[in-house]
Amino acid sequence: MSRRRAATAAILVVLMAGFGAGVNRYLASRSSRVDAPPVHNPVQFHPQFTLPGSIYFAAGGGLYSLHGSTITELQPPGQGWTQPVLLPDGSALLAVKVTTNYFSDLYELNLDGSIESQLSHDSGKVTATQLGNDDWIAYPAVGPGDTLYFSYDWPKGGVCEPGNGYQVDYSIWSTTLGTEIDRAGVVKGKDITQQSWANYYTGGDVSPVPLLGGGLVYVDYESAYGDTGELSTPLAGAVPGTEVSQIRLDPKGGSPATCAPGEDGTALTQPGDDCAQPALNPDQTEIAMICTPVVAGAPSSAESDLVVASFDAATGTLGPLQRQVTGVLAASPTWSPDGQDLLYLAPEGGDGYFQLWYLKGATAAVPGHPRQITSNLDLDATAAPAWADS
Amino acid sequence: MVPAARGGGQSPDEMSDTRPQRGPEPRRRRRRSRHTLRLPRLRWIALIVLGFLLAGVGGVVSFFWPTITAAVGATGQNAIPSLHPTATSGPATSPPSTAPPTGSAFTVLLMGSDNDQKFTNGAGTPIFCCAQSLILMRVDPSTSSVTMLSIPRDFWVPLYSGTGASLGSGKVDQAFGDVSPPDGTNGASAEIATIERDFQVSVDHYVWIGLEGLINLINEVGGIDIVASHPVMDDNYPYDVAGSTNPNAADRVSVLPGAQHMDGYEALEYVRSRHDDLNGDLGRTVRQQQVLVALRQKLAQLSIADVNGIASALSGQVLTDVPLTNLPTLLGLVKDVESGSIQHVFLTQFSMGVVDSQDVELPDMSAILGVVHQYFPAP
Repeated sequence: MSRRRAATAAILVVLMAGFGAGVNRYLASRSSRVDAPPVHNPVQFHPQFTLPGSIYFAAGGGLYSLHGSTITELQPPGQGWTQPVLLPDGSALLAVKVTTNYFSDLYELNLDGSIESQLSHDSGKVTATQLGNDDWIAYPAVGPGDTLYFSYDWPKGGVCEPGNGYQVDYSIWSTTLGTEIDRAGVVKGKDITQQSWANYYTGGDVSPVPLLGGGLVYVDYESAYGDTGELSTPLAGAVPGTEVSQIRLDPKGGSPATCAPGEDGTALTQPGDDCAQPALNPDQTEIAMICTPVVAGAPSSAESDLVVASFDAATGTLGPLQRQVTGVLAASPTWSPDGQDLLYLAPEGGDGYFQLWYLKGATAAVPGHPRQITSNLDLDATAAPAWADS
Repeated sequence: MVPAARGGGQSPDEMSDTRPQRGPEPRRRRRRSRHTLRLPRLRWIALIVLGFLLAGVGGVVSFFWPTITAAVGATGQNAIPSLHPTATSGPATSPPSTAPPTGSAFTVLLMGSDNDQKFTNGAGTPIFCCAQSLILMRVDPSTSSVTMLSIPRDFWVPLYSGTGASLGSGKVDQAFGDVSPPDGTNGASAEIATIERDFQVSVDHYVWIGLEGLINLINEVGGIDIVASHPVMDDNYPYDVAGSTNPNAADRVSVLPGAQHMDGYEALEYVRSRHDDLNGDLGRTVRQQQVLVALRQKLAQLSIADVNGIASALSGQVLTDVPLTNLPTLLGLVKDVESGSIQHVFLTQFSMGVVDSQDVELPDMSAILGVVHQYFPAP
């Protein structure tokens, strides 16, 4: 082989190797379409537009406030913080701290995030075989007279099967803000009152919203199929094994403990609307909620709509449901302090981590176009943001 | 000067005679030379092209090497029993299962479980357990439609080994664990035989995925978005993954309702919890199908860039008889199927009972077979 041919062959071999490596690198350079976008630290994010007042929200187990275009960390991420709510006078926050797979506790925090007091003590300080001694507390809300409402997984076993460790539904309880909530207090009925009795084995009653005139709005769950729970006939199109939610009004608060629970108050929405996560505007004439249309033959809808309706607490009536945002996974609405606009959570770009969205003129027949406030954050979609006017 | 050697000692006359012919001679030589050069050149070109092709294939293979090594151990695991159900419950006589022709409808048995082999019993023997989730899936490529039918794991039915031998009666998910030697392929074979014979269907393929595999898969695709239909509460949720050292350890679970983004572990809690469910295991199967639909949405977006990550996520956590070469076709089907063309079937034709001190579901098989055969052809 001539030297020229040898050189040509060598060059070709090098080119081939380069080509093979190039193919490998080309494949490696292809970007994934399913990888979740990187989650940013909220404090490094600056919204494109600003809203008046302060917004408090939970993300990645931490608590944050958004004021203008500045996000401030109130409690660090990874600590299980969720569901911040403002006291009626806006002077402090309540928030839940979850110890994953064990228990949760309720805290009062100053607006700068510092802990003022621990309101509940739900750790049974038990071993893994005695988990039933731990408790979950969630959905705090404060109403007139500093009455604190919350969901609590008591009484375990319900009224008729006390101690049944399989029936651990949430029920709604109340106490006066500042009262120490613990198992002993609940057992002895010390200043702690059960407000609702959950439909057994449904997961229970959640999302209490105190009414200015007393009583509360809340959410309960029942079988969609009609053979168990409150529904007497199957919901059209519902597959066996599914549950639906109803928003209910309990004007008096409290109900007798019976072995046939679930008749607390008046249903405001129909089972087929599957509505939950209610939020009342400041004068309590409008209700925002999330409704998940039942899809015939499907285990669950792939969308949850942001719905608004007029509300009259005195008569317990709800106006027509206005579906203001549809085709997305909307969650956890909150009214603006002036009661005109809404904040809610929904994924960015159709799916993925939930972000904060803003809907101007939420009660209008044709509301404004939803505007995304945050991006690439991991907001807790089961925690409604709290919006203060200052 | 004409070299003597070239002339070959010719006379000048001969030379003169040949002179006029001199012209064509070099042309002939040139033609011959061209001819003799063309073949090597073609060969050279072919060799060069082949070389580049091989280099390209090498680049592809090296890129997918993690996938290939992971898949070789997990795919093509033939567990389809060499028997199919007969009209009676007698010995199997039907011909062996064969894969359906390309493009025709086929049935896949999805099994989700933790075989618990990471734990040992009191005697130090590794535990080998059951298939906790059983979903029969009928895929029709011609219509891009899918039917999912959940089989409640507590159905009390006759159990069979992969060879068709009776294993007595038990919960339908126990066939997977009642095999010797205890391994995933044997377990899958027994589970398929049991379902084929009890439900009078023909299973063409199977996929078994472990609990850690489901967690890893969902994490690898960036999590899923779900509308949790109700609070999922459980004070006795099994803590047997994520580093657990005790198969009987328990966790507490409280999945709050509403739309949310779930990572793999949260999604597993959502589909696996059952103790506080009004509808018991039936409610859980509904949640399982819900998560499968959400996962399908993510899998439909997969690209080449995700393949190695998915393979790593599932390494050691998946078994299937589907050959590696058929996986792209199946993934293509996943993309083609719209959520609206998925039918969800749940079996409610059973009563509760207690057998051998176990809470079981006693199926009304005649009613159930009527439902099953609406969607799955009898063999």
